[in-house]
Amino acid sequence: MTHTSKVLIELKDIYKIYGSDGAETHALSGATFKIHKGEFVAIIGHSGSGKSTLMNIIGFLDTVTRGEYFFEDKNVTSYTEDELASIRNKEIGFVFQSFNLLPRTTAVDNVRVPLIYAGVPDKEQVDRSIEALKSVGLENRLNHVPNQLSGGQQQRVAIARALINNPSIILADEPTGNLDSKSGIEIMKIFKNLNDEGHTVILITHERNVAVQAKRIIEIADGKIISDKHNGHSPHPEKIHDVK
Amino acid sequence: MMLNKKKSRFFCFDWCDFVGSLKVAARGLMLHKGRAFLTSLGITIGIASVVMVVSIGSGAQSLITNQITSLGTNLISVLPGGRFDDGPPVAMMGITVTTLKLEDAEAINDPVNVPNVIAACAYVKGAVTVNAGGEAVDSFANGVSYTYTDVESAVISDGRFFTEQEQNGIEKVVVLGATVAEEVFNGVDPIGQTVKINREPFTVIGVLEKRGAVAFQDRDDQVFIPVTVAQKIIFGLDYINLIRVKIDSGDNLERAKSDIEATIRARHDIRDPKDDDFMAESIATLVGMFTAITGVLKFFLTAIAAISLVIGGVGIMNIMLVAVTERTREIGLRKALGAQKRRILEQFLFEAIVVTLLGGVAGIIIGVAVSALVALAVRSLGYDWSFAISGTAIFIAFSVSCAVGVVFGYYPAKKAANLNPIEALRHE
Repeated sequence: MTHTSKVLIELKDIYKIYGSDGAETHALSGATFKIHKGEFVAIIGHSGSGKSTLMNIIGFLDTVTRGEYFFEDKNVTSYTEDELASIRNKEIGFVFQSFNLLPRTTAVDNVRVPLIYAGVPDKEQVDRSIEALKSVGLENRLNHVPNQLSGGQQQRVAIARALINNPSIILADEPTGNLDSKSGIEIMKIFKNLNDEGHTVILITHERNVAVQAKRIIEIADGKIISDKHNGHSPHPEKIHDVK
Repeated sequence: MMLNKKKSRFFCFDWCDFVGSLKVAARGLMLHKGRAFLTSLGITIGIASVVMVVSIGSGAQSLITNQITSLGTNLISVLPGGRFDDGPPVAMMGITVTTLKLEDAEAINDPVNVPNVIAACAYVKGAVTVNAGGEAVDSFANGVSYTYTDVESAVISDGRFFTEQEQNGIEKVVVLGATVAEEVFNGVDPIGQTVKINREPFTVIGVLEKRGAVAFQDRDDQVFIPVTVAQKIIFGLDYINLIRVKIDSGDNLERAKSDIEATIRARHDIRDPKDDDFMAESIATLVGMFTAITGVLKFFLTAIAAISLVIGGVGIMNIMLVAVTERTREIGLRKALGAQKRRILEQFLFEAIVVTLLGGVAGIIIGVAVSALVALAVRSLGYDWSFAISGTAIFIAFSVSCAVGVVFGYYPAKKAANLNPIEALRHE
C-alpha cells in the first residue's frame, strides 16, 4: 500500500448534531480524514465518543448534519434513502458485534441476502454463497441455522455475507465483542487475511489490543478525532490530524 | 460480460425485484407456518360463509319458487285477510283469519261472475290421524271442492274423485294420497274400504298418483275429503283457508283478478278496496313477493358473512403489526444490507396477501364443499335442489380476500418500510 493508491473515503469537516435548539448533542464535531483503498483502519474510542455515529456515516446508514462525504470522488452527502440503500448494498460489507443473522435461517440463506437486493438470479445467489462460506472455512455448515453454530462460526457466516457482493469496504463494528478470546483471535486473523488479499477493512472498537492489529488507528473522543497514527512501521498517510 | 450483465439487469429490474420480494415473503411465512395458518383462518371462515350463504340461499330460493310455479302460472290464489302495504299476506304469517267462506269460492266458480274461470277450489286444511284397523298414521287432511282435480295437477290412479252431490250431501268419502294409501293399506286395494279419520269412518273412493313435495309439504302424505265434511265434521269451522282459481289463459289473469275481487267485495259488502278482507294474487305475484323477502334475507346474511371477512382482515393487520415489531432487527438488517424501502414494503405486503389468498382459496373450497353436502342432504330428502355455485360469488370472494390482504397488510408493511435502519438494528 502506498500514498498513491486510490482514495476511497474522504470526510470533510463532518458534523452530526442530534436534537434541536437548546438540547443539541454533538455526536461528531468536525471529523476530517481520508481512507485509501487497501487500508486496514481501526477507529477506537470509548462508548459515547462518537465512533458508532462515525461508523453509521461511513457505512451510509446515516446522513451528516454538516460537512461533506466523498466516496470514490463522488459527493454522496445528499444521497436519498434509496440511493444510500443501493450504495450500501454494493460498496459496504457489514460485520456486527451481535452477528445479526436471520434466526432459523440456514447459513446459505443468510449469506445470500445482499444478493437478493442486488437482483442476482437465484442459482447464482446460492453458488456464490457456498463459495463465500467455503472461503471462511464453513463448507461443512452450509445448511446449519445460527442456533447450531458457535459464536465464532456465526461471525464467520456474517463475514461471508459481508464479502458476498464484493464490497469496496468491510466495515466491522466490534466484531469480537461477543466472542471468547480464542474465537476473537480467529476472526481477527480472517480480517488480516482479507486485508492482505487487498480488501479495505475498517474496524470500530473500544479495545486497544484489538485496534493495534490494524495498520492505522484513528482515535476519537467527544466527537473529535484526537489522533490518527500509522501503527508500527507503515508510513503515516495523513498529516492534518497532528494538531489536537 | 459486464455489458451483458447490465442489460439483463435492466430488463429484469422491476419484475425480478418483485419476484425476489415474493420469495422473501414466502420464506418468511414458511418460518411462521403455524401463525400464518391461524391468521388465515379468519379469512377462511369469512370467505367460506359468504360462499355458503350465497350458494345455499340461491338453492333454497330456486327450489321454492320452482315448486310454486310448478302449480301452474294461470292460477290465482285468494287468501283471507287484507294486505298491509306491500308486505306478505297475513295468512302467510300464520294468523288465522275467518273472513273467507265456501260461498265465496262457489261464487267465483260461476262464469257469470268470473267469465274466464275454469274452476275454483276452496281449501280447509289441518292435521289428522288416519286409521284402517291397524296403527294410526299421522296425516294432513285437505278439505277441498269437487273441482280440485280441475284446479291442481292431480291425477287419479285408482277409483275416482268425489262429486258435487257428495260434497253438498256432506258424505264421508275420501281420496287418499299415494303415501297414505301405501302406509295404511300396505298393498291391499283400498277402494271401497273404510278408514277412520279422527275416529270418523270414511269410505275410500280413490287414490291419487305420486306428485312429490311442494314448499316442504309432502302432497302424497295427505288425504282429500269434501270441504263441507272437513268444515262440519272434522274441524268444526265455517270458514276456509284458501281459494285457488284456475283461469283459461295466463293473458287473462289481470281481468280475472279484478272480476274475482269485484265478486267477493259485492258478497262482503265492501265499497273501498282499502277495506278488503281478502287478497287475490296470481302465483307470479306471490313468487315475486317471496323472492323479494328471501332476497332481503340473503343480502342480510351475506352482509353478516362479509363482516366476518372484515374481522379476519383486522386480525391480519394485528398479526402483521406484531410481526413487524418482532422482526424489527431483521428489517434493520435487510435495510443495512441494501434493501430499499419498496422491497421491505413488498415483503410484508406479500406476506399479508399470500396469507389472505391461501385463506381465501381454502374458504372457497370449504364453502363449495359444505354447499355440496347440503345439496346432497336435501336431495336425499327427495327435493329437487339445484346445487348452484355462482362463479361471480367465487370471483368476488377471491377479489375481496386479495383486497383485504392489500388493505390490511399495507399499514404494517408501510410501517416496516419506514423503519430507520440504525434504530431497527439496535432494537432488542
